[in-house]
Parts: sequence; structure tokens; C-alpha cells
Amino acid sequence: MDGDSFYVLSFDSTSHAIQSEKRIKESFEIVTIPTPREISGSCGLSIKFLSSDPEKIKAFVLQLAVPCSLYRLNGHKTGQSREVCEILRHK
Amino acid sequence: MIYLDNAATSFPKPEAVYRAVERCMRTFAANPGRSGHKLALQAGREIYLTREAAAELFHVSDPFRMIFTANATESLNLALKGILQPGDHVITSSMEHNSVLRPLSALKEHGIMVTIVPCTRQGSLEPDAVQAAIQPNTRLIAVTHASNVTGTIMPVKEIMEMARDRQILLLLDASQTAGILDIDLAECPVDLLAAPGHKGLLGPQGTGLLYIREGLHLKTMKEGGTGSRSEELTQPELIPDRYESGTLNTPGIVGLGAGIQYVKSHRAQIQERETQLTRFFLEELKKVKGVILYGADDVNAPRTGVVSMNIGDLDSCEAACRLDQEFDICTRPGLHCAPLAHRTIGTLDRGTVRFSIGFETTEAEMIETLDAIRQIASHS
Repeated sequence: MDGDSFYVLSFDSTSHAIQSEKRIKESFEIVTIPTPREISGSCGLSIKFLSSDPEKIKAFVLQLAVPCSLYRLNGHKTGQSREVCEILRHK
Repeated sequence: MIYLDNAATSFPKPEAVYRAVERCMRTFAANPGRSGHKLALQAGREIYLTREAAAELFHVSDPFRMIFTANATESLNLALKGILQPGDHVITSSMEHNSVLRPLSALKEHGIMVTIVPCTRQGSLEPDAVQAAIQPNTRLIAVTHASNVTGTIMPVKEIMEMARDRQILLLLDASQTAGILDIDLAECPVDLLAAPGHKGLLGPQGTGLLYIREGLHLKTMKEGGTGSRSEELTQPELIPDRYESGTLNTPGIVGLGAGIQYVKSHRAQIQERETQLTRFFLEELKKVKGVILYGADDVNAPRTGVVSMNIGDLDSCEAACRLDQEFDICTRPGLHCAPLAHRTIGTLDRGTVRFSIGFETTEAEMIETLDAIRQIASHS
């Protein structure tokens, strides 16, 4: 992967994001952020992983109890937005 | 002052509840889960903690099945109006509160058929009578876990099994029992459970819960902002968002969380003490000439810390007013929002004076209350 891409997990419900945040925190260094506009204009919450081991992240995400999507975002913006790639849709 | 109106609203609350509400309002009461900044996140996290604590208390594995409402009335309205459709039949009992009876009256106008099963004069519900009321189109049985007038605990397990065998849904009104009795939804899996936050769960007013069993999909009572899927003009399907539009009562819910934590560590002792005090109170009242008691005759029959009575032919409002003004004792007179319960026990004309014990009620307070009743009884 690109040196400065990062992974973001987005949720359909802010309550789901907050529950998952609690669980993910036990295994990863994360910050909870407003969902980046490139992923969705839905003003929800997402979790940004500060570490970048996609296999470890994917394996963890698959164990979560709520629907969510994992994205890889390019660290560099092209114009107003950045490149986004959906790598996993869970549930 | 002696406060014996805990069946309406518990008072006082555990110290931790006051502290939690104040801490929330002073330090993080932003809009929960919206915006994504640190205060909004903290508000969202603390609400989640209450949801998780409530799920644990009732042995529910998925916290999102616990929906926050403003009170049990809202929970019951959401449950009844969300489930029942034209052509459905619903069974309830004559000991229900108006928070069940009035939504059902409103639903009758929309083609829902209602059977109100009469209870015994002691206020108890016979499972056989419920069974006899079942019809081919019975969709739901909605019953109280315990009467708010007589404290009578209903045979919920038998009714739950009967409903399950016939694929009828069961809505339990736990207004008088949530936080007071041990309610284990893993062991006694009702489909819907409505609970107020401000009674036995020891939270602030303006808080309530509705448990919705997995797989049940209710019509919504309100639609609006959820902080999620904002691009869509229709209400999201996901719970809890589907049923929780609009900014939640964050300080109230955080306070409720503290109340539930208190209940989780003290419920068994509170129940034991309340039962002892109730039995003592009933036994002593039986000795007072002129006192008429309602509910089960047997002081050991299953009941919550609720005692309804009258003194001679004194109007219940007059008796309660004297208790308040002359003796500084807070009770509740009248019909307690349950007119059919009063018809059932024969007190529709003058209601009852209701004494309801709380987690901090002491034996000394009950002795003082008994003295006051004796004084009123001897002059009436």
C-alpha cells in the first residue's frame, strides 16, 4: 500500500460507531472522526486507524456485531478530495 | 418528611445519580453522536454505557435492542402502535394503567380489536382467563408485570409460555418492576418490555426504555434526525436510530446509567428490605380498626412495595391530604391512572390511598406512618 494511505471504518449509525470504538480501542490505536465526505455525505461517525496492517484490521472488522464498511484513503488530496477505495463491506 | 410515592417517581435518588447528571451538564452535554467533536463523542459514549448497563440488567445480549424513550408511556405507545395493525386482536387485563388502556382505545378506532380480561377482586390475573380470550387473530398480549394499585405481581412466566406456544407476541409493562424485581429476559423471553427510568431504575424523570426482541420490526411513532444517513429522506431501518429520532435526553440518560449501576449492585438487598417493610406494614395495618386493605389477603403473596388502603368511609383524597398536611407524609390518593383496576377491586367511587416504599424507606418511617394512620382512623 501507499506509504501514507490510511484506513477508515464507517458506520450507518453513530451508536454503532461508538460501540465499535470501544471494542476496537482494545486492539488498535484509533481516532473517531466525522465520516470523510469522500466516503459519504451522511454526517455519521467513522473510525480512523492510526496503524496500517490491513489484514489485521480486516480480520477484526469481520468480528464486529454491526454493519460497517472499511475504506482505504489516499493520504494526498487530488484537488478537493482524496482517492477512496472500499475494501470490505461487513454485514 | 416521609416520601411514600415511589411507585409514581422514586425519590430521593442515589447520590451517584445527582453527580452524574451534574457532571454531564457541566462537562460534556453536547449533542450525542452528532458532529464528531470530542464533547459530542463523549456524550455519545456515555449514552452507550447506559444502553449497555440496561441490556446487562435485563440479560439482553445486544444493547441496541434497548431503545431510549421519554418514559414508559412513550415506550408502551411505540410498542402498541408499532405492532398492532387493522384486523389484529389484542388481549390486556383490567389491572392495566391508562398508558396501556388509552393507546388501545385509540387503536380501536383503527380497526384493532381489544379484549380486557377481568382480574380477581384481589387484583390478580388468572392465566386461564387470558387463554380463554385468545382468538385466531390475536397478535399481542399486553400485561403489566405488577399492578400500580395493589402491587400484585402477575404470573408473567405462565402467560409468556402460553403466548409463545401460540405465536402471540407478549408486551410486558414493567413500570412497577424494572429495577425492583429480577427481570431476566434470557430466561423469560418476552417480545417487548416497557420500563420507566424514573421509578425502580432510580434515574431522572424524562427517561424510559423499550426493549424490542430481535427480529421484531415496529412502525415508527416519529421520524427525524438521527445523525446518520443524513442524505436519505426516509427513516433509517437500523436500530436504535430507527426509533430514536431527535436529540436524546443526554443528562437524563447519563443519570439513568448511574441509577442502573446502583440497582445492579443493590437490587437483591433492596427487594428483600422492601418486602420485609411491606409485610410489616400490612400486618400492622390489619390490626387497625377501620382500615380497609386491597390486593391479596395473604401478606406473603407476591407483591411489590405498594399498599393501597382506605380509612373508614373517608375519601382517599381527604385521607392523603391529612397525611401530607398534618403528618408530612407523601402518598398518592385517587385512581392512580388505572380506572379499571379500581372497578376490579371495588374502589372506583373513592379511589385508594397508596403507599409505595422506596430503596431508602426505613422501618422508623413506616412506624411513624402507621401512627399517623391510627390517629386518622380513630377520629373518622
